[in-house]
Amino acid sequence: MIRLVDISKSFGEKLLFSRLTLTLPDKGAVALTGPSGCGKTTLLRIIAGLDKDYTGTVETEKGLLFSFVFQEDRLLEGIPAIENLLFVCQDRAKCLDALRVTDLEKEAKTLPRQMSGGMKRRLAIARALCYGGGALILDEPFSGIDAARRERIAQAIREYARERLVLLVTHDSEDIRLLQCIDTISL
Amino acid sequence: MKIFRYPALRALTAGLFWLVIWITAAALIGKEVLLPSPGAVLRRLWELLQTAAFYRTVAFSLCRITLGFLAAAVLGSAAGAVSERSGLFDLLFSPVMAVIRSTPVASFIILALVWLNRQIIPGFICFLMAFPMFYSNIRAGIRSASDKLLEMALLFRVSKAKTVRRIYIPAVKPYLLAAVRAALGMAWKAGVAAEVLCTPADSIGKMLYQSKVYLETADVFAWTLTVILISVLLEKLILRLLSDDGKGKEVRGE
Ligand SMILES: Nc1ncnc2c1ncn2[C@@H]1O[C@H](COP(=O)(O)OP(=O)(O)O)[C@@H](O)[C@H]1O
Ligand SMILES: [Mg+2]
Repeated sequence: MIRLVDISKSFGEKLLFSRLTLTLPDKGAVALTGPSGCGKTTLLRIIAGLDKDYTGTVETEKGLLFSFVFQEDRLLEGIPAIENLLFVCQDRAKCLDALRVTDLEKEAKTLPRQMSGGMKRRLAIARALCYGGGALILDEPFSGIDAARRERIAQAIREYARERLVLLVTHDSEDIRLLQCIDTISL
Repeated sequence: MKIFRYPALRALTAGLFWLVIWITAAALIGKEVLLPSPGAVLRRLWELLQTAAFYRTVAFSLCRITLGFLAAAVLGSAAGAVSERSGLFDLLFSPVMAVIRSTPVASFIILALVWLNRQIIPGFICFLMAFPMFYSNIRAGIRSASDKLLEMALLFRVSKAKTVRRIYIPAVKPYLLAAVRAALGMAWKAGVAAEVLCTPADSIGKMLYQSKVYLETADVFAWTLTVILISVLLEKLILRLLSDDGKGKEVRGE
């Protein structure tokens, strides 16, 4: 269980949230929604421990590892797709599996810089899936991905959510349905 | 004029123009010692090219200078990387860099003559010229590594070694290549200048110096031409290495 207690966060003068308190379950998918610029990405970063500049407390199980699909892909543009996965995961079989789920098998040797936006997005998802971790954070993961592939990827994420927490930021209620989210938090 | 659109023709025209000026001036002055004619210089260079001593001299000069350059590349990059990591090292090392950067080469050469064996001074001077470029370019390269990618590596618990290999090295590479390009020509010319002042055995600098002493002005020109040609060749070599690297980047697989 992850508990956020009295979290306040501001950038300079701009206050994003004050005394925010919420609890996240150990397993299942939870959606996080809200208008652009309301601080969704910032909250995800606080939860994952990437942003430590806040007041309040974040209680997580000790040693919990987060996997993350960043809003901006953050791929290693100059090395092939498969190498991007091997960068975070030693297990080649798992990497190939993740490529299969995201329909990138044929692009294993393609460089991200030669990929379309949607392909890059899928590769970022593949990387998060093969890394695994104890909780998966998805920051607008499906932008630019077509419906058929979305369905296939969602299936893998639902699988993940059976035993672990998935936290999904999205603007699309269809995604919330697709991942069978058990809860929706509006910021 | 239309023909001046072709780069080769432009170069040829400009070259011919100054060649004519040179020939005319040499003929007017009429003293080989003051200004040898282009013909005399080329004849002398041709003669030099037939001697084994010429190649030994060029090879030794290149060797000395390359060693200094390589030492600067390795140590300058290492020192730059450490400076970027350690504030204390940076602090303690910054006066050294300030001194190296602001002291005239000539002063270093004279000082080196007092302290060091004359055989190694040209290499040492090359080292001093190239060192700051590697030092500062490595630092700029490290700083250019994307914070977002570094944060990604941190989140996924990627090892330090892999982070260096996949994020820092690709970021540093263009800066390092730029340093090689900028430093090589400069180190070569400064190295030859150092050779002139400390005249080590088998060196282009010593040949230049002796030609001047014996008033063999055509030899001075011929050796200078050699230095220029080697400069151009080095530059071409570097450009070749750079572009090959660019191609390599695209096809390099697993
Ligand atoms: N590093 C930062 N420095 C200053 N302001 C920031 C920074 N990151 C985000 N912000 C600001 O915080 C607000 C929320 O950003 P973000 O969490 O990315 O929103 P969302 O993901 O909901 O669109 C935005 O107005 C943004 O400009
Ligand atoms: Mg966002």
